[in-house]
Amino acid sequence: MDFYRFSTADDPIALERRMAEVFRLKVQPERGIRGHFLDSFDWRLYGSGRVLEEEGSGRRHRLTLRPLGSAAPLRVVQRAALPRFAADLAEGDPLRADIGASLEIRALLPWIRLSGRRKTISILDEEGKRVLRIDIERLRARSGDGRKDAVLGDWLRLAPVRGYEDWLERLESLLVEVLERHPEPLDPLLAAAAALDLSPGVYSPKLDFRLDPQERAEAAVKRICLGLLETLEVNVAGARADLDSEFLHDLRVATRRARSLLTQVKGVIEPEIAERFKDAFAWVQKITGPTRDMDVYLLAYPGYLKSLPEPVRADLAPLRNFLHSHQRRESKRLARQLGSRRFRNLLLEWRSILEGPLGEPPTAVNAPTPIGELAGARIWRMYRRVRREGRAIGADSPAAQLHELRKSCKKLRYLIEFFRSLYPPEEVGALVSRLKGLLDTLGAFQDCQVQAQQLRAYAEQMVAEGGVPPATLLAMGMLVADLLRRQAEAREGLAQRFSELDGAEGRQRFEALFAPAAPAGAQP
Amino acid sequence: MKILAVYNIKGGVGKTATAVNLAYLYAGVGLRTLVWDLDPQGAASFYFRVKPKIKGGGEKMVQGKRDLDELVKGTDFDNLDLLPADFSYRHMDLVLGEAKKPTLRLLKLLRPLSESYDRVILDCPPSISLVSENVFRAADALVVPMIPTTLSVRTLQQLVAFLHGHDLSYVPVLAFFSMVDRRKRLHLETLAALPVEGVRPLRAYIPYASAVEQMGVHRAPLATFAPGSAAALAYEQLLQEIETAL
Repeated sequence: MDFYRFSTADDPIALERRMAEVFRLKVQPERGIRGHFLDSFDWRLYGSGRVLEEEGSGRRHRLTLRPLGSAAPLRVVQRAALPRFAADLAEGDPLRADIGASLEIRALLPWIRLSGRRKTISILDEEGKRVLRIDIERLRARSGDGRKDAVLGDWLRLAPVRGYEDWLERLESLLVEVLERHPEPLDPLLAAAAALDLSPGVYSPKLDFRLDPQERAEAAVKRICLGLLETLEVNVAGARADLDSEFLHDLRVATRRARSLLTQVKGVIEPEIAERFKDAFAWVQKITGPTRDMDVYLLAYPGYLKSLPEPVRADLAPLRNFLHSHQRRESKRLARQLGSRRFRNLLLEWRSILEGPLGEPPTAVNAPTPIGELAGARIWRMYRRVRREGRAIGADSPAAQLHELRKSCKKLRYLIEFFRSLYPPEEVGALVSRLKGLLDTLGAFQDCQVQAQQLRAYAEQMVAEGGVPPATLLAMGMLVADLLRRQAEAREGLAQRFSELDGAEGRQRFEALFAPAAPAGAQP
Repeated sequence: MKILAVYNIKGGVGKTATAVNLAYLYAGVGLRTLVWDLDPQGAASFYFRVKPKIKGGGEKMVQGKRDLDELVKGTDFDNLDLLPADFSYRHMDLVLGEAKKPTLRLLKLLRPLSESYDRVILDCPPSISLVSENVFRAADALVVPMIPTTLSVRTLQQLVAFLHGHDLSYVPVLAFFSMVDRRKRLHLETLAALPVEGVRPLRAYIPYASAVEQMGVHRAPLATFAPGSAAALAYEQLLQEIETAL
């Protein structure tokens, strides 16, 4: 750990005085600092054990990437503008490679604003070379949205120089000698996060519910719905502001899962309420759909470019402009909807139902059933439906039939994921990964088909809006051809994927985990 | 990781100044850069205020008994490290001669650093030896500073002939003039044409400037104490051309 928090404002003064007696120092005058801790909404850099700090203003930003707890930077760069996405950095920018693999399509958010003062002191050796850099800082933190702020106090940052680590040890012993105790080792990122009530690394859209098989179904389902509602809620602000496309994506997935749960596990929540909220969630899917569509095409755009021969790539630019302008328009419309009273009331009302008392006596037929019993029956039924639909599919089956199979597979996956804590993790994990394999193939098939169709529709729309060069339409035609080719490839892989679920071994696994016990006296 | 070797058969042509200033500029754009001071005189180490000494001496290092990683020293600048010189480097030829595959030894030593650095700059001793052959085989390009005189052109021809004779013609030779005095007619005439086959002449040239000599007084790269000077700008242009050539 290279960071320490002083317990009193006198500590840094005493330390500096003593350092001057023992070491040869170069002291730079104290100056004001202003900067940020940057990370994605789900703290991916932090998750990879790294911290990205920015300092500066206007057209000068100094970005330091360092390991958590260490003041020895992995890389330091100066840039004229703060990147919002890794892809905003130039192709060969070394920082892009450093952070891009973690961030992927997520935006960098200014989670924490830092301000304060810093005095930099260098310890020099007999050659006049710096062998240890010491920063004494007085810091204040403010949340990125400006709502909260906190005094962080006085800090010591020790940046060891490679090959001169013994100087760090010398300073650390001096520190204990002066302060008569070891100061608190703590990364300022963590101190700031704690002071501002931020929880780095806690958000995850993944389902992780710990259920007890004897738990009353109504209680378990409400708890799952509440978890989904929380995921939905935390993504609303980012989706409204269109910070990056993942906010809306996670919001939509949480909505779809909630709707699927209400549909698949019937008779647990009072039927009238379940119907009303199924409709409400369908409405949420509807109002978020157009923006998501545009996001999908914009995310696919770099791949489209790569699939085209080099000389044709520039011709595609009008498509990107078309997508951007429509995305902005749809996103503005969406922001209004997500800010509407109807949407806000929907979330409030849903929360009050989920947090309300359980129906006493139960208001739905399956409400008192133990969740272990109900979950297995629902999963088993959906598995049999997937098998039935899959077996009916042949080489010439229409795309719509494959689409239906995909929807059933998704429902099956959601069910298993809601209730996975009721089953042995390894066995259920193996089935989920087979299901994912099939879903990926079905997804590739359908995405290619929908995109090919949609690109043709966009081409017509672009002609209607006017000003699209013929070269762009030709390039889009090449994209369509490529998508149709990839769709055919996906279809070829389908039988193999399906057999992993449908084969005797797959069936046995599903049966062992989920099939209800045969009633006493029944034929095996 | 790209390895650049700053090299000339002749000494006193501004090799170390080139290595140090290029390294500083590379680090400045955010590329993690390592300078390896291969010259037993240790001028690059001197400029970075690092003692020209490595733990265990050069022999153990060349034999692979010590990882280069352990011997690296951080400089006063972000993204910029140094592998210091050692007086024992004057016998490096002998030690290399005893190694297996003696001409590929340096490359082998450098390979483990490929994750840690984006650019490695070798500051090479003058003359043609086993050390320089190692350098040629390790380098992605040779950066050759030369004083604009007839003799310099001749040594460049010798270098190209050597590369050709050792199946090393594929290594790009990026030559440029340094210590150029525009008041000297000979300099101007030599600048006008660099007619050596197998050499990629760079347009940037480093003017003869007292600022460059001041590096020894300041013990620091040029841009830290004379930013915006003609020589500092010339190094920036040089870096651009080298990157384009890479």
